[in-house]
Amino acid sequence: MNENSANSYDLHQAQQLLNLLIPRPGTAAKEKPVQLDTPNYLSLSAGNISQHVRKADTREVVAEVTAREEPELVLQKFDSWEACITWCMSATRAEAAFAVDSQGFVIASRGRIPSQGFEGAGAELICSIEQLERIAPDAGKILCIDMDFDKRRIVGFVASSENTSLYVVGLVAPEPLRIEAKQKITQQILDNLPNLD
Amino acid sequence: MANVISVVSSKGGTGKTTVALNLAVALAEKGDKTLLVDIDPLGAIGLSLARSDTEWAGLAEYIMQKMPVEDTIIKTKLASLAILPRGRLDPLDIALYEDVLHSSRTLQDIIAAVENKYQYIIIDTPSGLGMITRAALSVGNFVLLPLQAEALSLRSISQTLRVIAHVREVDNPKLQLLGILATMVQLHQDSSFDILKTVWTSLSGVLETYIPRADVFALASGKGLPIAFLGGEYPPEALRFELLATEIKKIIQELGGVTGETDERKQRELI
Repeated sequence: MNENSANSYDLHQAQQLLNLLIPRPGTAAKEKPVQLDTPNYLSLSAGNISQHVRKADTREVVAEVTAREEPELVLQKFDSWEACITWCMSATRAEAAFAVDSQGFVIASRGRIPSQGFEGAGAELICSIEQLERIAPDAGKILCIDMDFDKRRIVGFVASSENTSLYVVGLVAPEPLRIEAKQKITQQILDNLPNLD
Repeated sequence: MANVISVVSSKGGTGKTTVALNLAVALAEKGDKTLLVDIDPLGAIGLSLARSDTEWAGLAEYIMQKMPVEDTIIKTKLASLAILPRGRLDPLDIALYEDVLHSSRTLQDIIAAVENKYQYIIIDTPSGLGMITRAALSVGNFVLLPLQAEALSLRSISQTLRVIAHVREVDNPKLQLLGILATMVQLHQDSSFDILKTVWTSLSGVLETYIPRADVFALASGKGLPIAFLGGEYPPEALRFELLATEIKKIIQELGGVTGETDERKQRELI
């Protein structure tokens, strides 16, 4: 008799995950610490897909990306921070966006907001900008901070002028941006600051 | 504060809506104020209750700011049970609906608006592990995983568990798995029995209660009723859901959830 079906359920990973999820009496989690095997899944995170598409590069793909980016980065007028961060999300395909004032208070947020909110991230961003500018006092003001964490990417656009307070627009997991695009976004926010302040 | 339970599964046809509906009824029959929320774009709860998919306003109307959330909630003839239906969503707009639920605070806002009024909020999700399921997992305290007693369902269980573990790690640290609920079990059939035996022997976190496959579910679905509401002899499957409700309440209590009851009793004299 063919016994090919005898071991057709590989539940090792399922049980490992259950040990992690149900640390109740009677489960293995109590007996030993949970060590998850790394499954052989292929990650299709936004960054990976984007790189792949560009490596596979055809002129059509480049043209499509350019065509998508150019119209979105033309001058826009915003009458609210909500409108501003909505545009930033759309232009960069970010998962979420937020705006904080110079005190680190969140004044607008949109998209896939983490359960802990953006209050902590906003306050730390404002602190960090002050710290980072000390690295090179003669290099001028920081315009953009691009942070690649191992789980997601956060970009902060700093907007301040002589007549307005400092604001930071944070984007979570945006697509990689060229320096020209970053400058355009910063300029866009700056140009609209008088309407938003 | 309510215990928010999302009913999720990567595979379709595992009985999520049947479980969500009949569990909500069983909890409400015990006197616990329960809200059943239908976020499935199919509007499966409404369809299960034999309602046209344009009959009830609901989530779609709330999203379009046509109604406050309180006005979208439907009272039922079971005093402790209310339903927040999907609403009159145009099937052509499902992609947009998914996007809004995933990328906005809509669900968080709804839960925040109603959670003080209910002890249990049961969220019925669509099949799969897409954006809506992720959104539901992000707002719930608990997740219940129905597992159809058949091979494909068992082979895909790791996918669901992986997403639950990820959401708990990244989005919602308070999310806890209540357990795996075997559904559509046919113990008299070798294939179904073998699956259940494998589940019981290989996996932890399997609930003691299981839901058998029975004609009564098709009958209830045809009449647009929860099984406990059918006329005639009380179906044993309805008793299963009463047991399930009791087991889930016990687990929630063990996990530190608020069930509002301790079952403390005074000593009595027999003679």
